[in-house]
Amino acid sequence: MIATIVRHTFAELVRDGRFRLTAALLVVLALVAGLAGWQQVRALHAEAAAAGTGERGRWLGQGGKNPHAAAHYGTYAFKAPRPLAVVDPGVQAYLGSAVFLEAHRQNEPLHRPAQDGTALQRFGDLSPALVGQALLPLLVILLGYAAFAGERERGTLRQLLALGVQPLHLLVGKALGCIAALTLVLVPLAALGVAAAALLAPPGQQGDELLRALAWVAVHTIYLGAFLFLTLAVSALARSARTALVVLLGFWLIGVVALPRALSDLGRSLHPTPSSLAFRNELDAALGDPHGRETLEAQRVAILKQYGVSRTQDLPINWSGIALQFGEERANQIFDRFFQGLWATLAAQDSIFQLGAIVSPAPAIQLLSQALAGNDTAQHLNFLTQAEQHRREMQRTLNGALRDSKGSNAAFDWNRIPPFGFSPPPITSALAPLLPSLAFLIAWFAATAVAATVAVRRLRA
Amino acid sequence: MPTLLRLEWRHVRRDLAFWLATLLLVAALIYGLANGLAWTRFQASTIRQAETLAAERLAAARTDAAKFDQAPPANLSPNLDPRDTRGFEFNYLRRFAVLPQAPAAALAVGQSDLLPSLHRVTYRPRDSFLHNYEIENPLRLMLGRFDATFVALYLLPLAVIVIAHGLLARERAGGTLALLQAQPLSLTRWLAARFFLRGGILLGVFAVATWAGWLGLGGAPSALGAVTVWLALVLAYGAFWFALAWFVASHSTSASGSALSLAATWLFFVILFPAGLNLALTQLYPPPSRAAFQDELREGTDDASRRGSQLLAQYLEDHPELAPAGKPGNENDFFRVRFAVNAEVERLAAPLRAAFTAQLGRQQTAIEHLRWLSPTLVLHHESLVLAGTDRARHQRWLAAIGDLHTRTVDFFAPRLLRSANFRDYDQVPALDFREPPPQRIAFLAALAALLIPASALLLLSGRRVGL
Repeated sequence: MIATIVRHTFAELVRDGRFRLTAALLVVLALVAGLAGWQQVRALHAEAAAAGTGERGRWLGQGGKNPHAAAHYGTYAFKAPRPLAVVDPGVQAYLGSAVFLEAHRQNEPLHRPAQDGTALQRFGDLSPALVGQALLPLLVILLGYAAFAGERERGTLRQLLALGVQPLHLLVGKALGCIAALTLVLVPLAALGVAAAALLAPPGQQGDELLRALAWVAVHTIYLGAFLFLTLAVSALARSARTALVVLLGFWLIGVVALPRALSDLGRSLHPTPSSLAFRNELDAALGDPHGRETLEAQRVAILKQYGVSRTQDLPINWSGIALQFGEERANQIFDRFFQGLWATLAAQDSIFQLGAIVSPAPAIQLLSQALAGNDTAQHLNFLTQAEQHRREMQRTLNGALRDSKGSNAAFDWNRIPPFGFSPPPITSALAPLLPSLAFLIAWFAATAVAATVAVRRLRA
Repeated sequence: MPTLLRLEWRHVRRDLAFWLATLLLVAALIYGLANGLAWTRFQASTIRQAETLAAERLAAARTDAAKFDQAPPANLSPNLDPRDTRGFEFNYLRRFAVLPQAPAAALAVGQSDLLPSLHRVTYRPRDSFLHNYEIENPLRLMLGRFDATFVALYLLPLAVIVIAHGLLARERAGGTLALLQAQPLSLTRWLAARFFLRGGILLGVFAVATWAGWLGLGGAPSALGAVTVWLALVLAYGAFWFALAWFVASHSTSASGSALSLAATWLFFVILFPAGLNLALTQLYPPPSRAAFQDELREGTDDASRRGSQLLAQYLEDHPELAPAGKPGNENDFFRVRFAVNAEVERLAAPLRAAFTAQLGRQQTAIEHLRWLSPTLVLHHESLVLAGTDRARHQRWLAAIGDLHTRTVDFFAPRLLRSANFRDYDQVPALDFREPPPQRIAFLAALAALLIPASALLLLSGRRVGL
């Protein structure tokens, strides 16, 4: 019986011109957006690689130079896009793509792609993720809002029940029929994600990226499943197809369109970030704290005592290198305090957003999708952390060379500073802070499935 | 008509969906206004911080200069001496070029959370100070703000759809339409009463809530004129959606079909058209690569630094007033070379920056032409212009910053070379940013762009009401 219902539902849907048109439109939209994203990912990759090569060439070609002059000359770390930006560019456009690594400063990243766009981008990027997270739920509503309410209006529900069809079989049959129809749309999206992971991932990262792509498909399937069961539950409970449609469209509007914006604003109200001006001023004030000079003086006295001399000029090592590294270590503690505090505030704002998944599954899927694609805030901060570690190591090496340079005319080998390379965190690390989102998403799926089951058990013609 | 309206009012009073939609819309509007006002307060507070810092440092320069004149400290670095141009510029001058807030800025956050509205302009190359972003959660930037313009653009049409999608179809489905047609009553007038009463209440409540919310939440009373202009456009946008609902109702046989058609139209205008247009324009006029920009700038700066002395000779040909007067080999040569190198870097960077501006300009021009195809884009564009958070205003401000930078270099170049005895604290150039006069024609064109299609839809639907 279930198989018959599945076949009937599927056939009815694919024969429906509205479904065929909408599904085709969504697939075309997702593929066009995905292919444009593919082209962009490749272009950005090539540009970041070229700029990185240029930067490395300049670094190695510095010739004879004081190591500290080289530390000020610095180098840029460029961020290349992740392969799954093809399916979900996430917050990539709103983050800087290059960070300058120099002496004394932890710099913020430069060049947000969005700064070169128009106000239209604020309507949302057309991407497979937008299709999957905002438009496909609408298609699900279109597929299912009349599943029971429509049968009731036409009088066919009474006939079905009178024939002895179990309501639960009806639910399973209709759900599987809808899923079969939805698969026609989901498969191209899934193929795009898997292809991007397989073909665009750098060597050594294909495995992780493929796993991410599969997980991306899985969480979207759960998300759409939750929408499908919700739709069927409302359809079973509603007195008319119109009521079911209005209720579901209302839920979509509030849960998918309005709630994410409202939550992000709420997050900032509860956990405000300082202005950039105030942040920089306070940071500069902390860096210029004369307390540091006193500590440096204590350090100087200790070193003089250690070497048994009374003047830094008499030391067998170059005091400048020690003083500079001392300044770096002290500044690093201040940078950690300020930047970790700022990033903790951003994480607290995101946790408010994550909690919104109690009201709608949309915030959960948005966070999970971005994280799996490698384009969320946390993984960007991971890039910044790795870049900062590289900067600190670079300063340590250069200041060490300066320290040991006394009495030596040997030029510094610039190859001792390796090129910066970003190692993306594995999928497990990316998902770790989002376990609540995953739990909420699964809970939505389970709750809507139970709600649909309860609704059909109470089904009356 | 008054009798019809009275009769219809009886239906409206009992229409739970109508009142629920109106209530939710008003609540969203108030939240949007509160959010917008909170953002403008944050921006205003940042501007005050900048102004305070600038004033404090200037006062400190004067005080310290007087103090050092009386008792010159031993071993004072020129970089810390306010009587030395270097010291004043490096340690005391904290001058910020600020994009002033428009009176109705809270209505539409627009691009103001993404694009910086504060730059500390120095004599150094522009790229050393132009990349200064406000701290903001990237997720929030991606999602956009829940401001009053978001409520008007996205939620107002949906409230209209909820309220109006079944006004005719339900009568048709219930079989009462035939009964109505048997009455000595024009169906058009009857339907007009249904739509106008609901539309009048919804839009009237929206207008009152906007004014009351604006004043109640602390919006500037002086901005009420701009708020009213925005409201006029929003009401015209609401009228368009009511007219569309009427048109769809007159062509649809079921309430569900009507709701689906309206939802699809909303989806097209509010989500797909803007996002699709953005995608198309970024493909047609892609911005140049920022990584390549950085690479070229870095290479150019290195090259300019290597050719310092050669560039200095060229620079002094253009600026003979800066040539050394019998004082070779001193610190001033460092600044002369530095200005020469900076000038070269600016010369190299100018076409690179212009390439970004040009592509952005092409995208912007295309949007300005194509926005007339979508009532949503018409309202969006005008809202941002009214709120002063649009890209074009920001570009004008950046142009004024470019001019300020040129004047700053011209101011500091001769002074840094003679360096000592600096007292020109009040002559440091300031930003000269002037707002163009308000474009009434643009407002009227936008109003017409919303009302003409609304009228056309009403005319087209009138004949089919009875079908």
